[in-house]
Amino acid sequence: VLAEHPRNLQGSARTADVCIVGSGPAGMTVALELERRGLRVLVLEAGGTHYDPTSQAMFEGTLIGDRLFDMGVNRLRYFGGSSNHWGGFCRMLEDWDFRDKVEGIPGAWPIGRRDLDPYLPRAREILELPGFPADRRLDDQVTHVHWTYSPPVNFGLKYRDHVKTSAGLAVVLNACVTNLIERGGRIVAIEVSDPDGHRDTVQAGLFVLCAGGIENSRMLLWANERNEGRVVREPRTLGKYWMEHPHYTVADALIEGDPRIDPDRRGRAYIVPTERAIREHRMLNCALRLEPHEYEGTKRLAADLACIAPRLGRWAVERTGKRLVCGYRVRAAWEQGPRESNQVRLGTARDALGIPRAELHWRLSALEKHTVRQTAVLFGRYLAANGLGRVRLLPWLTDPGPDFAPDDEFVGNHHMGGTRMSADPRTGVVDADCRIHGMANLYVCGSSVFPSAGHANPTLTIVQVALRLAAHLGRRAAHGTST
Amino acid sequence: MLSLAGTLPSSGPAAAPAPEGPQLQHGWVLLDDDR
Repeated sequence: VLAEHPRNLQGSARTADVCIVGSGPAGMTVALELERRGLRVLVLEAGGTHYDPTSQAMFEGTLIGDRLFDMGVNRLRYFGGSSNHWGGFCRMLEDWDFRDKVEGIPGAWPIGRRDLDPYLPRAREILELPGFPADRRLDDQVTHVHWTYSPPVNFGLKYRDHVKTSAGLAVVLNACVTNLIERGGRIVAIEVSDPDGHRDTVQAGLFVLCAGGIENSRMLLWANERNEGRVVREPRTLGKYWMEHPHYTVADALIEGDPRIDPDRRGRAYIVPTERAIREHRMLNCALRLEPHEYEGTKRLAADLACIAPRLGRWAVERTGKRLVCGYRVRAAWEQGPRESNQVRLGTARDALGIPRAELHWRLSALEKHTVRQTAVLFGRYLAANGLGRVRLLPWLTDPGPDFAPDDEFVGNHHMGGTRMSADPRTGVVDADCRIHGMANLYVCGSSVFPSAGHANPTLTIVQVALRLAAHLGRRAAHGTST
Repeated sequence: MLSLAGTLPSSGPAAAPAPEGPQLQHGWVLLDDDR
């Protein structure tokens, strides 16, 4: 069933085994898996079937700190959620991404990669992914890796027809959650509002919030306020340890040709630090993306090298003339350390339904700059030591100050953290099963549960976590513990 | 062969990155005998 409006739901249709908030990759993955297990599933989507500026405006908020993006545009409020502008980049987190990397930066997950690996085959089916080419260790400091690309899957378009004809799965559009109603340590109902302010309630045995990396925190902060702290009973980390993936151009490279580096079908090649390098240099994870320069760009790079190192420069200019050397722009997307000070709060401004808008406090730090600079240097060392080429870091990156480049892509629109996963209620919001600590039947899914983020684009991990949650909820429902 | 100046923080993750070393010439990561 695809219902245009909450008031279209009649009688028993307002009650489900599982109610899921949000129809993006996390919400739809959980919903489809539970439908396959024979459960009655109700998905609440705040927007409609298409982009609508009035609906989208509900996502506007205030960014305090490094104002490098706009919360009103870098997530999407309609069926399919942010898969509507997803680029399709997929890569799994590494083993070491689930553990602490740098002292004082709490990044460990209560689960490991081995807990998500069993869900990779199904995630590949959902995201329509081909195989994963093997990584290639270049030396003990850097590895050449690959991404795998989804077409990309748009969850709204892919599953719209299925939802329309499904008996067990209903998606209700224009249903904005305005409150979670708690009784005795469990959620008994969700209150929703349509865009006109008409309120309804939906009942279910289990509830899952999959509203996105900012909205999950905002919704819980608001519900906690309305329920006098009984939804997230240990709220000290709620909204906190929020993360993005910084995206900047960091360097150029002149490479004579390395048979061990294979550009992918998009002409890109990726370099990451090894686990050893991360430990030795006390840094986070990082990916360098090499994109070929035009010939003129390569010539300029060789000429610049000739000014700095004349003998080497002559070699580079000569090889460039014979087109034996290629110049690359080196872009980077990398890990931000989870910090308590980077957090979602409820602001003073309110949206059209009276809910406080998100106020995001967010800054990059010296650790992020150190991480990307060290990775670029390590790649430069590899090329130089093996006679394959040289790397030139951009001036902002060699500057010892705290500043980043003033003009760039800045971020990946990857919103992570805020409801982080932890074994201990004092250090996170949800447990290893994505259940809110202390709540019987309220779960959170999506990248908001990531305690740390690695460098990889989050969607594949989101789908793996969602599949693992669906397996847990399926077992729980089968044992009759959902009500 | 390669003597890049350390770019590690001097202590802990909050330390500022170390300044550019002699082997990072105008941003280029060079070997000692490159010049």
